[in-house]
This record gives sequence, C-alpha cells and structure tokens, in this order.
Amino acid sequence: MKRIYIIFITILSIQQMLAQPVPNEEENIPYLMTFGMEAGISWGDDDFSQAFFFLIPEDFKQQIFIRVFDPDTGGKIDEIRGGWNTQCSYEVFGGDGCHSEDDARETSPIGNYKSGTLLAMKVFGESPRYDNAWYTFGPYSPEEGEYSEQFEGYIFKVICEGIAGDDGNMFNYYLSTSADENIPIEGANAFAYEYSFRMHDDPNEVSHIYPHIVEGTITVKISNFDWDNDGEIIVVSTEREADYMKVTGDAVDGAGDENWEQDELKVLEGEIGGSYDLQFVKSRSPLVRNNNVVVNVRNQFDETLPFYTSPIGGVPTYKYSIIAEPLDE
Amino acid sequence: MGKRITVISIFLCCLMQYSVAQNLYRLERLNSFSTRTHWELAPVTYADGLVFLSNRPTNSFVDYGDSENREFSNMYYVAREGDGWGAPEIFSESFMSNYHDGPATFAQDGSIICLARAYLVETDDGGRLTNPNSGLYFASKVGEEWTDLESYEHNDPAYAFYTPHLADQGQTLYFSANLEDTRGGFDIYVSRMVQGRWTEPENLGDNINTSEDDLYPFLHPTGRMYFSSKGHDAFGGSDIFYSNFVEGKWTPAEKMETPINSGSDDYALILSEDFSNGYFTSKRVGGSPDIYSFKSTFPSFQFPRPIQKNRFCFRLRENSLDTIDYNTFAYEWVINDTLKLYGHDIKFCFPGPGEYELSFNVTNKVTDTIMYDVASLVLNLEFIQQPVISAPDTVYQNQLVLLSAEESYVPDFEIEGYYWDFGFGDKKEGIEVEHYFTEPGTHRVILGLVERVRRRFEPEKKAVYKEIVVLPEPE
Repeated sequence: MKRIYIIFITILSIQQMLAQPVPNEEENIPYLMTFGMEAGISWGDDDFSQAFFFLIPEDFKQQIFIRVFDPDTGGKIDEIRGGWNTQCSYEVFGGDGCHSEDDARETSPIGNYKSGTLLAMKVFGESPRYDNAWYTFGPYSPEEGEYSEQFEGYIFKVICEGIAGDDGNMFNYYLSTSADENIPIEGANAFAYEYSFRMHDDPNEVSHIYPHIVEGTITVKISNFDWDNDGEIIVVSTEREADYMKVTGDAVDGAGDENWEQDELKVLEGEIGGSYDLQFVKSRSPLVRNNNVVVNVRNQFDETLPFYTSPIGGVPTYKYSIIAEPLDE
Repeated sequence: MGKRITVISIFLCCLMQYSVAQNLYRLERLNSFSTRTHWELAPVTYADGLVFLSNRPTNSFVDYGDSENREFSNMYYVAREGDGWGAPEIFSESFMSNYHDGPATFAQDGSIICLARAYLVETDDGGRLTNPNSGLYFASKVGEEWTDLESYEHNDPAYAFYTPHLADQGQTLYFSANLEDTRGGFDIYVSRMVQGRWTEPENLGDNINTSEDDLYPFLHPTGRMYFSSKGHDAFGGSDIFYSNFVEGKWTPAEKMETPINSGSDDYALILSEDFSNGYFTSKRVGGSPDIYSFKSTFPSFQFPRPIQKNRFCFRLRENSLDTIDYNTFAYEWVINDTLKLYGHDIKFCFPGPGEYELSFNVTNKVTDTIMYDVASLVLNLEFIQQPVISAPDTVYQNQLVLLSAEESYVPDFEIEGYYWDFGFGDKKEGIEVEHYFTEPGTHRVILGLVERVRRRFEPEKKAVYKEIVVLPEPE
C-alpha cells in the first residue's frame, strides 16, 4: 500500500515531461552499458542486465516505438575485450505485472524480473548493420503496456542482458511515435531502478542522474559500483548545495558486496517530492577512460527509488537566498 | 543703479526676516483697557486677571500730577472675562497714594504683594513729596484686606528701588535700583530671604546690567531672567533681553526677536511657564505705553524622533547555507550587471539612493561550471523621509552655531515652514538658523516641518531632534 502511494505521488508530477531519449540530454550520459555475462565485474557491470521502463500517458492514443541506438556489440562505440564475441538480448515487456511485479523493480536480475507479457525479443551480436544505427521495436499500442492507475498511464519494460561474451555493449533508447525518426511523446517519461552507464572520457563533462525522492522518504542510501575513484559523486538538491558521496575503487571479481560503496543521507523536508541531482565529476588526474558505473538508491525501507530521465520537479538546483542587511557605519 | 539695487535688496532681506519672525508670535494690543491717551504698563498676573499701572484719571475729586503735569500712576486690576477683558478697576485703594504707585509683584498665590511707591516718610509741610525716589513695600492679604505696608529692609531714601519681582515662592526678590554700585541708571539686583531677613542687594553683574537703565526683571520658572534694558544692543529705547544663570553666572544678555522688540520702547515682559503666551509693554503705537499680549504661533511638535541615519552600507550575504564550502564553490555578486564583488558574505557601501539589482552567481570549482543568477534581489535605496538637522555634534558654549534643514527629505510634503526649538523658549524659524548655546551640557534641538495647509486637511507635521553637546567655553 505504501508503495502504491509513493507511485501515486510520483505520477502527479511527471505529466509535463517530453520524452524521450534515454539517457536524456540533461543527464549528459554518453551511453547505457551492459556487458556480456562472461565479462569480469571489475569492468564495471555488476550483473550484465539492465531494465528500463517507459511510461506512456493514458490519454496518448497513437502507436509507439521503442528504438535502440547501436544495439549491437561491435564497432567504434562498444568496448571490446579481445575480439567481439558478445551477444545482448533486448526484451520488450508489457501487460500485467510488467512493472507492478516486485522483482521488476529490483536492481538484480533475480526472480520474476522478466514479469509481464513479452512483446518482442531481439538478440544482437556484432552487426555492422546496427552499429551506430537504430533498431526499432514496435509499433505498440499504448494499451499493450501495463496500465497503472496510479501512474495514469501504460508502462513498458525493456531488459537488455549480455547473454554471451565479455565485451561491453553501449547503447541508447528513444521512445518515439515513429519507427524511423525520434519523435518525442508529450507527457511520457522513462525510468530505471538501477542505472548502468558509461562515463565520458573528457574530464570536463559532468554526468547526472536524478533519483526521485518520493513521499515518506526519510533517508536514502546511495550505492555505486566500480567508480574506480574517478573523481567525485556529488549530491545536489534544492536544499543541498553539495554533498560528497563515498565512492568505490576498482571492482574486484569475487568480492561481492564489497565492490559496492554506500553512503546514506538524511532527506531534508524540502527535498520530498523532488529529485536529487547525482553529479558524476571526473578526476582530471589521473585520467580514467572507459569508466562504467552502476548506481542505485534505496530508501529507509530498502525499497528502490526510481531514476527518471526527465527529473521530477525539474533539474534540482540549490535554492540560494541572498539578503542585504543595512550596517550602522 | 547698483546702489539702488543694493539698497532694495537689503530692504527686502530685512523685510523677509521680519515677516518670517513675525510668524513666531501673534501680538494683540489690549485695546479694551489699554488706551491711546494714557499709560498702561507693567502687567503682572493676579487672580484671574492682570494688575497693571495706568495714569488714567481716578474718580477722586483731586487728581495729582507729576512735574510734567501728567497723572500719577495707580495700580488697576482687570479681570479676564471669556475671551475678553472686564472693566479695569483700582486694584486696592489701600495702596493708593498721591504719587506713583507700582509696579507690583505677587507671591504665594497672590497673598503677598511687593510694590514700588514713593517713600512714605519724605513729605513737606503740605504733605507733598520731597523725595522723588521710590522704595519697595510688602503687604500680605488677610481675608479680603491687605495689611499695612512694610518697608523692604534695605530701602534707602537716597536711592530709588523700582520694578520688583518676587520669585521662589517669595523668597527671592529681584528689583532694579540706582544703588551706589550701579553701572549707570538703574541696575538689577537680587536679595534673598535668609532666616527671616532679606540679604543685602546683590548686583547681577555686567552680563545683565549696563550703564543704561536695566529694569523689570522677571525670572521664568526655567531659571531664565527676562528684563528690559536700554543698553546691550537694544534696537532703540528699551528692549527686552534674557539671560540664563549658568554655573553661578548670568550668561550674556540676548535680545528677544521681533515682534516682541521693536524700534520703540519695549519692556516689562512676563511669560507663561510653557513660553506659549505672555504680556509686555510697548510704546510702538502712538508713543504711549500700552499693554500687549502675545501668543506663540510656533507649532507644537509631539514626540519628535531622533534623526535616523541614512544607511547605504550593507552586509550582503547568502542566507541559506549553514556551512560554506570554499573548496567547491566560489561566490560572486553582480551589482547592476556591472560591478562584481567576490565572496559569500561581503560588505558594500552603495553610492547613494537608487535602485540596485543584485544577482548572485555561484561557480562550482569541481565541475567547473558557473550557475548564473541563482538568487537575485532588488534594493531600492532612498533617503529616509524625515527632517534633517545639519549641525555639529559638539560645539562650545557661546559659539555661534549654524544649523540647517536643507538636507531634509520629505518628497511628499510641501513644506510651509521650518521651526526650530532650542528649549528655554528659544524658537526660531527658517531653513537655516544661527544659535548660541549658552549653557554647557547636552542640548536637544528640535526641528519641525509643517506642511502647507490644504483645503479641509489639517497640515501634517514632522519633527526630529538632534542632541548637541555643548562644551564649556575654552579659557
């Protein structure tokens, strides 16, 4: 019941979004990232699986497409380990349980995380045709998603998994009204409960992700995986100018949870209903290249909090206030 | 041509000064009992009216005259009746002599009188006065009757004693006399009742007495002495002066402003405790002494406030952060899109009134990004709307001090007049005034502005005060 309430609060705020490239421009993330399941986790992917959810507002009646950029694992964008040997599957789910199933909202591919109705599946290996190019799933009627009364819309889920090989697959999504073009859907949004992404190599680029602080949140636990000590992770909100998070070093195969670094923040009153801006600031020296990061955020009940690509409440900036006090001199 | 212009300018200047000063008092010649044909002079308050001198004929069959065949003066009483005055009547026949009677002074709520009159003892065989001098005499009122006159114990027929004034519940007697130590003519003396006896007359000194006649002392409850003199810098004839008793000395006499003083003889002033009204005698019309009343037209200013200082210096600070992370952030203030100031908490003095747009930029040194205009503020600075007294904070006693109201800032206020109250009844009008502070100490100067009268609206008033420290006159 609590979870339902949380979702309800969320949906009220997302109607003005314009979806949706994933990652969004404001996030300044070059690519989502999934490694082949034979890769070591020290390369940055903790579980070789990434789920993203797409929300279509209920009053949107046109067909929709979920497009994937550079779905293959090969070419210039992806990260090669030895030779290209990786295959990644993309599965599109809709229907009942697609999002509402508890396992669907967890961070690890365990249990019934592939809940809902499988609408499509496509496996890509090295493919010059889809290298640096778009592949389109759909069309789908919005009603093929899982209807959520609380979200006032239909939810689709896409799971990308590295089912073979050890290379890194870098890709993006776009929720579109067209099979051939990226045409956004007004009021749509996309979100994930764990974000696996590639960092920029340029130290001047700062990436952002925006966990939503839902009603009832008292504390949040921010976890990062394989940060490689590549600079700082800074939390900014309307009430928080900059809080520095503990960061991990290199992930070590077999080290399990020790590969994760966690930091806890007490949520401030004005932050409820808005978002945090997690800023990923690269170190200038030593310069770390091809850094891959996994991040999730949980509340005091150990429930995952969603990262919206279009942050709820807008991109949070600290609310500075200035005053002028007359002096007697 | 040049001379003509100069002359006219000076005339206009004087005229303006006079007209401005006229506003401070409204005079009225008390026509109902002060006549053109006879003397009416030297009023003092008694019961509900005035006791004054007049040489108007009495109803007796025989009238006496002086050497110039003028009637001798008698003391009359005139009662207040509503806004006017009743018919004058002889104050008391028991004080009537065949010679000049009065002036008089009262103490103890009118139960003691001291009056000047011809010495009782010096007459010739025919009962006529052989000594033109006057002495001072006391009487007490018992029931409706006055007791027999008692001579002031220092009366001396060789000298004239005149214009008595009782103060301190009758325990101090001021008077004028031409005693041996006079500077010339009449000087003013004081004598005090000590253990049932009057002390020897004591000359009030050079700041009061001159080589001319110095007469009609009147001690105001504030301790200020008003008197009349033909000396000092009198306009002409006798003028009315005042002096304060400071640290055992009378301060140099200062002349009262017009219209109290005129080019004719003005003398015998008495003044209410709050300085708002009084009476005096003047020969300004027709050459005959007449009694004038005067009322202060000086506006009253309730609850003047201290002058507030215009404050254009500000502490500018960001107000949300509990701790400042200078390692991560740098803060910048931009004023009116031009001036840049750096810091989270700064002091800045704006050059003066005006509208200032402040914006606050934050540079994140870690991300190397600048967040522009994360907070902004518009400051509307203006002078405080108030009268302003421009004058030194500290001056010396008896130093001429210029005080100005020119820096007053009351934009929605059409100023009708600038009024200055220095205390002790010292009131002046004008945008700039000069003043001597005669007593050391802290003096509160009040400046009041009165708005020009608009139809159906009471004129608004604004008043401030400034405290000026007056140091003793340097040796």
